[in-house]
Amino acid sequence: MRAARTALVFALLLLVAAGIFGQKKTVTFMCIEADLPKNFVDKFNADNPDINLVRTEEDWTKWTADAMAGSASDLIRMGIGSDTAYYSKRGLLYDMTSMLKSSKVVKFDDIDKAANSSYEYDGKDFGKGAWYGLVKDFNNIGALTYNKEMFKAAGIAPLSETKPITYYNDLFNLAKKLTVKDSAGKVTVWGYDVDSTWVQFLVTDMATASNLSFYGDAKRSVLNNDPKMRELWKYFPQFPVADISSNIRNPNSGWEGSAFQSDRIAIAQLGYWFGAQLQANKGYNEKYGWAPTPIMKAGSPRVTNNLGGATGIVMYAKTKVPKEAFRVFEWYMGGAYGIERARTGWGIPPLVSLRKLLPEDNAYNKSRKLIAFDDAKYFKDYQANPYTNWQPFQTAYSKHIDDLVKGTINADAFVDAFYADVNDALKTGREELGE
Amino acid sequence: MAQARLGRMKAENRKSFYIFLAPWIIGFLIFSLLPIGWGLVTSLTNRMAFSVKWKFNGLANYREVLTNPEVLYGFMITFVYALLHTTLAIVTGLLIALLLERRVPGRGIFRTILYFPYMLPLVAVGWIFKVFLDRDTGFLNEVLVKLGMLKEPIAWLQMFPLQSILALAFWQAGWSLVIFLGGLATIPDELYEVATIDGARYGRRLRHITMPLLSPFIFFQFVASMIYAMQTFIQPYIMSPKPRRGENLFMETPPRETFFVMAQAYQQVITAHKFAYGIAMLWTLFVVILVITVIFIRLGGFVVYTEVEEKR
Repeated sequence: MRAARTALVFALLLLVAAGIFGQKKTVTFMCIEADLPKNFVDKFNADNPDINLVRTEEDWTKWTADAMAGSASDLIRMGIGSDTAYYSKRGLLYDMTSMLKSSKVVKFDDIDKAANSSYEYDGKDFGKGAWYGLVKDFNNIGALTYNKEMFKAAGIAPLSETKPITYYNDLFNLAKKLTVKDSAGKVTVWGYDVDSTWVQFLVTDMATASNLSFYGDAKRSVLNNDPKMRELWKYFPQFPVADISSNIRNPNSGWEGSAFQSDRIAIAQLGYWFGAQLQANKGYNEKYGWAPTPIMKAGSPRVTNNLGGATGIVMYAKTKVPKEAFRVFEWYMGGAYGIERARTGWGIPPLVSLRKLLPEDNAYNKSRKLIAFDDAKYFKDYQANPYTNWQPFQTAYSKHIDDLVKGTINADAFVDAFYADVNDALKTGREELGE
Repeated sequence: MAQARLGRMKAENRKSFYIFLAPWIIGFLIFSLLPIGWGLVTSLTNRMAFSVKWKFNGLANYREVLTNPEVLYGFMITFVYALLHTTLAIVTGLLIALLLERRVPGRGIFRTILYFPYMLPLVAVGWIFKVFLDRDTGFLNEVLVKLGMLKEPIAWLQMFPLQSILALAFWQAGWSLVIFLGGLATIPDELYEVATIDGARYGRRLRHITMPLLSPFIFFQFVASMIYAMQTFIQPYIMSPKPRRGENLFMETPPRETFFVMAQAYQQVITAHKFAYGIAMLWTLFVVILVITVIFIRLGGFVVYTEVEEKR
């Protein structure tokens, strides 16, 4: 009887152990579906029976709340690479350095260090220190896409693919000529438009080219009140004020990418990846042209960036499955899915060896690829700070631009209000870090 | 002996009562009271979302809430919105209820049709109105321009953001409608008959019979609707006129005119990571709603008709 009881207990223990150790390890990956389609998830799970890869819909509200509770997704798509500074300073990102250096799928020497520099951070500077992730693909976000038919109708020659135009004042003047209004004064075609998120990433190029810093101190804890820097922040607001870009008086109810596709905008500034989206439009090859990122003025150095370090993938610091999560990461970057992604032309892969897979099947794709690689030579880091992520800049810009367009404040007051909001966010960040 | 048995039975009944209530009490303690208490304690610190260290700072967050012009404006505009929304919803519901009270053919169908918009999820209604009021593709502008009432389309969402959200009140009148229909059913027909015999026309009957007897229902809806409307959160985001890419609903803050307190608190906690400060805003909102409710209840004593004399 006693022997039977012992055997039964032992058998039960074996069953439990088999249950625990035989279980798949679940890796959660938070991203949009376009960045990890279901069929690829299914294929990964089929090829890796010990891992259960689960995609969760990207939701930074949820990730923030989960991280505050200590249980965020194992892998997450980080929209702006320079946010690595913000999140790593708060102990939220996993140091992948040793894993990357020993990976056989993502060869460390194959990583484009310059393009991925925002994911390497030593607590002060990018491009040094620990590796927290890699770009999933990157783009020269300052590159211009334009509608050739609208240019022809306005009597303007196509833009050069090798010689950039200037911000001061080619872009403004071109956009003004291309803007079309109806008899009632309603804008039917905007000459140019830019996403409020993009503004800070374009101003960083202008500041770096002018040897100016966003910040008034070495710690990057307060914005730079230098009049020249303030003038740069006034550049993009002049477009909506002049009705050349969408604004509260002449609004575009969608975002500028879809408006450009619907022939409502003549020049969009979105980057290489946008070319893949435009291929949904009939006749895209002949209709759309590409030009490199503008320079400040004639004779200025070329400075470009990849949206503050580009969209990439990072790992949560408190993940319970780091090895399994890294296997997913490897597959995503350099394995089957990384290869597939490179072929789609939605962005330039982080690994040099995959770049030969980028589409070059027609003049359109050849042109945008040529410009992307040319612009990439001039990449400089976005002027990030460890106290805020990118959002306060975008929120502050978006919050006050309507008042400027309505005329209730002037450009200086706009910059003052913008500075007040961003400086407040920087101050909050310093408090958060106990400084 | 009988008394002892009675005592035991009462004790048994009490025990059963608490046992049956226990799951709810435990749930309430764990999932409501504890988090609320934790939030209150956190609001007295300087904690951020990912603070490396934080400390107790007393009422500093509340002082900041009560002295920040943007937050105070948010409270003011939230109150104005709540008052207008409540009034519109109640008046619309009452008017429709008065119309539907008449015994006309198809009354039941009309009730269903007019209640139906209220059944739609708020998010769906918000999207419908966003498209409806769009300057370029909206049905409202199209109709008004074709009728010659407008020379050119108006950017309703951009130029009149508060009024655009208030338009949703008409779709949410279904709740008021149902309550008023119930209220009207409680009014004895004899009162109307007697009044009619005495020569009272519709207007006088409405003023001296219907409205006084409906006043408790109006009052209840006013208070409940104000409490609900003061906590409006999602509508300003859905109907925000700012361009939005994909499903990124919360990336842009709503315009100042519709940046209500709940949205401001959300933005402070999730976007700005000012965790304790955002919770302090919510607690302040709670106190404001409580004070408003108490004031309305006190005032209600003067305007609400009751058939029972209160003992003084």
